[in-house]
Amino acid sequence: MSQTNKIAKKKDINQGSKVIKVILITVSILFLFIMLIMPMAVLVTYALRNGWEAYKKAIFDPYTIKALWLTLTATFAAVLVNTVFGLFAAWTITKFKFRGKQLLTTLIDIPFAISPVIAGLVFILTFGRIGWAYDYMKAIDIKIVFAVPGIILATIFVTFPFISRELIPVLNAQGTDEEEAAALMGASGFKIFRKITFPHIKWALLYGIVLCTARAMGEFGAVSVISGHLRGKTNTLPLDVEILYNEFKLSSAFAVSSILVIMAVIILILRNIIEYKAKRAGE
Amino acid sequence: MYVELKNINKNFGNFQASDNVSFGIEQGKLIGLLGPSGSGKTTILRMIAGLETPDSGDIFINGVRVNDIPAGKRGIGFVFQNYALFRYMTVFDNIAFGLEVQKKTKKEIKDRVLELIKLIGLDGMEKRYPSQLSGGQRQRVAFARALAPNPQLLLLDEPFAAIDAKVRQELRSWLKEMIYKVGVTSIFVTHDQDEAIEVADEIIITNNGTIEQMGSPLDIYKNPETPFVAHFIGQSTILEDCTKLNGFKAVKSGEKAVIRPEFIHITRKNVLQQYIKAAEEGTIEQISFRGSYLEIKVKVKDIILTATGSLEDVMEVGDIVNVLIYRLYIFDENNAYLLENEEMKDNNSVFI
Amino acid sequence: MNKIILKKKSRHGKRVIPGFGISMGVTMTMMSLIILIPMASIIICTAGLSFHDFIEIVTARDVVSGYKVSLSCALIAALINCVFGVILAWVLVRYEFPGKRILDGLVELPFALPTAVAGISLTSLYSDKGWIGSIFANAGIKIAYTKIGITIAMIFIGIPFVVRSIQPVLEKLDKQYEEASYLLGASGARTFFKVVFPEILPAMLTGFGLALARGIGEYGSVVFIAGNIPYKTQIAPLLIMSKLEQFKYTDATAIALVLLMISFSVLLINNGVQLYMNKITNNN
Repeated sequence: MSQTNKIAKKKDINQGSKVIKVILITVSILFLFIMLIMPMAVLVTYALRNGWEAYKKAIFDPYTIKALWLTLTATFAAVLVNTVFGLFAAWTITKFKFRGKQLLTTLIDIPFAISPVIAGLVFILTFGRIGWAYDYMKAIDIKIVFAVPGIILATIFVTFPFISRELIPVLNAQGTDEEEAAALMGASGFKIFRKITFPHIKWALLYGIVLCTARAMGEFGAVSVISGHLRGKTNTLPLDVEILYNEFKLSSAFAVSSILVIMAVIILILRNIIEYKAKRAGE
Repeated sequence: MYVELKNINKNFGNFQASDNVSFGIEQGKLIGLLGPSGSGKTTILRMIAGLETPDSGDIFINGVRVNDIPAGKRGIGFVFQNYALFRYMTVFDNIAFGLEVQKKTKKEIKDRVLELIKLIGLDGMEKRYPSQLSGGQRQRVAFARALAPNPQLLLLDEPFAAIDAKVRQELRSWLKEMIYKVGVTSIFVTHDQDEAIEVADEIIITNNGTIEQMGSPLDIYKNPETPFVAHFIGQSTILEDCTKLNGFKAVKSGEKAVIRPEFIHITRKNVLQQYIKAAEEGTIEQISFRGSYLEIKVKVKDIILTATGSLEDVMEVGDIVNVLIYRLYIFDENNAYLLENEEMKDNNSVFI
Repeated sequence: MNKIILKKKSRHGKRVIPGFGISMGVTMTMMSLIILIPMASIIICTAGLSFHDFIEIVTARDVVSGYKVSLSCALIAALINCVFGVILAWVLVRYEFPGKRILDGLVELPFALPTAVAGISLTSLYSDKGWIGSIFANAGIKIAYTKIGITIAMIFIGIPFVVRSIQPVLEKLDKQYEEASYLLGASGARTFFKVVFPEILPAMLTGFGLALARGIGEYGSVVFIAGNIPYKTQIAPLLIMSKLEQFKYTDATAIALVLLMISFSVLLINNGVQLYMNKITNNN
């Protein structure tokens, strides 16, 4: 019956008129066109408004390159740290029973729920001049606020739950039976993880990493608070865009933005591929 | 005929679900569509309901050709295997749903719904949600919901498949009684023989998208018309070559036989009995307890046959016994017929 | 690993799967370092504030206006996203048409795009000289630098939340509910509103809550188009930012605290409604 179900599914449910179908599809396309495509079109147009040469100049500007480098560094650090965290946290939460599990899950989601500006604020309150940890940091000669470490920290904070959030539902759905069976046969923790758990979460992990990367690269609010906006030193790519925009260098701002957009598109394509592969593997 | 299908064909891609299906059902009858998985019985039901459209052929309900009439307007009540009760509506609202579509007044709806709730024996549960009911209760609500708008035809798709075994028995007899009370023409699909035999007035046996036989349960059981039916109904063993057995030498080559446990009678070796000439000698291979009777596997001329034995006279593995085979169903690809034991026709087999 | 199992024996009985100690340890350590301790700073900072002063800060006229702007715009944006989210999810799940996969991927764009980039693009589009903005400007309607602009930006970033929440639910929805409804004579509209909609409502509410919370806290994509006209288009996060720039740290923290409480309440109410709906479908 399931074979016939699948084929019949789309045909017989839509006994509603074709008119409604056309209307809904048109509305959807229009909505997305106005809300999403037009802004992108604006971006491309304005970026190339002053011609190809100006575009290249904006992109290869040394400040831009430095900003790109900082963005990539912060992103890389965030992905690394949050992957480690994500794996450990997902393992803890889904494979064991303990009191306070719900609380832990909620706590992990905090960065997801709070404004990025508040995220940045929090680090200023901790490591900034008025922060209680300021003196400790000064003692070991680490500058956090208005410096690169702060930016990296803020990026990690903001993207903290992304990977664990992808892993947890998948692992919850999988259950603990397989791991328990392996443990009872004497397998070590690492072996269990490598051979049993990991194959299940391969795609979810990749997906989470992709999402984390996207968010990290685009992070603006938190980093804006903590960075001090020193061009060439503590500017990420998005911050660079803001500076150029505020200086009315529209074309350059959009040119630099286009770098981020290209990366966003790559991420979207990657995400689609991963989803496709995951679906194939699931069947 | 109240419901008629004429030359119905239905394909899903390469899979032929219905192959030239034709039959008729009288008004007021309770019909069972019985067959193995994938035999096309659910497809037939769904085509009558209007949930699928046949590729060719006609469907008539009460004289009206309904092929082009949408499902909601055919006046059909449908009970799904998994109840499909609306989860966010109370029992009352579920049953009232069809009546609200018919734009009945609030009073009419209330009266009818409460009448049905009483009928299905769920008084006082109107305000409950489906999740607060047991499987059996949910199915009863589904039944009431289907009946509320007074359908001309009631269709049930494996209505008891999702229910616990014990409850299933009770629900079966309950359903049969209810349908008689209400008097609505009904067709239900099942793959469970016992269910079909117990509940239906008539059974339609499906196989590979075709109708093998239609008739009363007794009829189908005693007079199978095709090899498939002979094998499908009841417990049976298939014999490739039955000429070895006493009294069945007339069987032609290429014909196989079906033996049912009730065709075989086992008696102890030294017990007097009629037809001793017609009997075979056999050795008991295995005895299994089946609750109210014993299932006995006995070896006759290196063929293993399945028979039943009573708990009153328990035999043992290894006992040598007399095995009397009354009759066989003989069939080849196209025909099936009953063959009596030749030796038993012999009149001088009575002796002291 | 075996040693860790034995250690845990006393409290929870023998844990079968190894690694609890280590994974819990790493998890808690990282959580504390990165989240808990920094977050605690908010408490530490506001602890020094007297209740009276606290109230004075957060009820200042411009602050209250900031909350109002953020909340009202986010609310409207989230509601609009609900409507279109349902439509989009329905179209993507139930219909086949050329370009569907592109549409599906497009929905993800606000997630992948940096907020600042979205911000300047939207501003340029809706400013008086922008492609869309100029059309409305001729009719005397300003979009950029008004609450309308803010709302549009919030719609932009919220699009994926509702759609992605509803899609999986719609995909898994047993078609028998709809078949049962049709067989009882219901029209497509009645079937949708009375049968399908309650089934997707919990998912929609999840998306709504997420979009709302996101809108309230959003900075990058909104700050450009808002224009930050005091008492008119100043969003709360921006207020925090400006207090910071004036080195009024305590003020900023107080405002942030209230904003946090608002966000958490939103999520809590959301969770509560969903729990209630869950109770109906899963036997309490």
